Amino acid sequence: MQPTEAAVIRTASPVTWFNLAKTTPLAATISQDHKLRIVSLPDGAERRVIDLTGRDVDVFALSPDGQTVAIGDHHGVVSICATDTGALRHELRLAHYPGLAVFSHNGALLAISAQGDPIQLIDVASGRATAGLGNPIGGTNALAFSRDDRLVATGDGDAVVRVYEVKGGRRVAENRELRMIPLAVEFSADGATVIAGGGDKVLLFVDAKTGQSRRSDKTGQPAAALEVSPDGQTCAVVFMHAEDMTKPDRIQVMPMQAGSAPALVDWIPPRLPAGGGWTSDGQLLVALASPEALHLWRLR
Amino acid sequence: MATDARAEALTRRDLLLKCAAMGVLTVAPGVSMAEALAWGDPQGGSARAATAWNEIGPFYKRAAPHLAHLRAPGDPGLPLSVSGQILDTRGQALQGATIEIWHADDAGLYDLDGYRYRTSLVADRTGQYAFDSIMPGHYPGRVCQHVHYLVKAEGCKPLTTQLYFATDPVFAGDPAHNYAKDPLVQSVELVRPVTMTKTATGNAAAVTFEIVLERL
Repeated sequence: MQPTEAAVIRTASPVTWFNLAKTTPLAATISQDHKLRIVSLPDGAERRVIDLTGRDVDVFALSPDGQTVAIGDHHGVVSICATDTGALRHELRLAHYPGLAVFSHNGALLAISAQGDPIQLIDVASGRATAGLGNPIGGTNALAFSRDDRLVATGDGDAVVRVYEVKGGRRVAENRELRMIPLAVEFSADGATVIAGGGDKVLLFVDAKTGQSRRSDKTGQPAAALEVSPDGQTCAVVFMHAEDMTKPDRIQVMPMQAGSAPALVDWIPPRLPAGGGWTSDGQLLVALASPEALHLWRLR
Repeated sequence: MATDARAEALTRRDLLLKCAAMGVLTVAPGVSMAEALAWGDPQGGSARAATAWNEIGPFYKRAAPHLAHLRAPGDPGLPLSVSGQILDTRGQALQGATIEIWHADDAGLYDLDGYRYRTSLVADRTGQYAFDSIMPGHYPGRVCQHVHYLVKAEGCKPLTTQLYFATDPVFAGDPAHNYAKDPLVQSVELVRPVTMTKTATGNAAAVTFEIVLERL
């Protein structure tokens, strides 16, 4: 299938970040006018606008159900807001600016940390930490929850892939086969395998229980983002243009099974994507921003 | 003789403190006792602020070779020598500290496939380290020229940080005011003065970068 432009949404200001809700036709955007907008898809109708004036946003996450948004700024302030009202639910203060923010699949937990510090799992309802995940040198660069939200995988600054239990934060497995930092991690649909990619230019498939490597597939560039499709059969890989991160690189959809099957999709977008991902009905959407519009491309 | 032996047993810091208590040492207005205690003491021995943290970035690669000379003949770029001492916050030299260093080439590119401009050094008995390389280029999308450090020593908290250069055009000659032009630079202390020298083959730059680790 060739990528097709599925929708063009006129925007009041150029969009810099785009987050897709997985289970509901909603998205959240941040624009150059320092406003966070909750929009419905595919029409782009504004549902809520949150003013971010004066905040330099470092991390931005939307819960899969579209109910909650998290914004972390360069002063280490993390705001967790309800998208229907825009109301602030919780505010966290980190030691310094955050490195990542990821919601669990059920939206009940937010994984977040100050860059370089241990990850904390925050209960979204109470705003309190439920577990801390180790203390790797260099912190955690990438994180994913298993679909049942029982496990979390991390790609850490010491070039190690680790798997933890969500409840209590006990480490259950680790893999030290990579030499460079894993920049992206993801679970297979059944949670049995962790896929990791980064500067080693491989996709490493790791047994989530034992930490043993199952296979390693070479890639042309470092993987910067990974997301397995809802049916579990394919994985979308966004590659980083390592020589110049300001330039776009390939987006591929790879079969999950072992072997040398060609990519089902292999596309270099004309500019850096603002965001995207799989929807629960199996569409792979990628958002490209132009000065006056958001262009939603459908890759699957 | 017994008196002399006791004097030798005192640390320099203890001796100065004793002199201050006895009134035979006074410090000028504007000089703290901590500063006075640090003067002329090659091992430090006085409290120091820990070096500012900076993020590790995406291109750290472990198991780098132990090389003090990263610059190969014919490498493009301004020759650069970096040296310094690894200390703890008590001012004690950290012999055996490991210093992992990596940076971009003259064009701003990192070597992901090999170990160009990557090394792992060990501090000597006085905590000193040194390496020769080239001035890194500007990595696209990143504001400043920089050198990454990951420093570890027994009994200390590991540190990731970055070294910046006061001569970087980004700072327009005034790092104190302009260091935050790169939002990742967390402290002006990480922007180090550069000494330019002339060698038989051309210009060269030299930088001193002391690293202070927090005790666990």
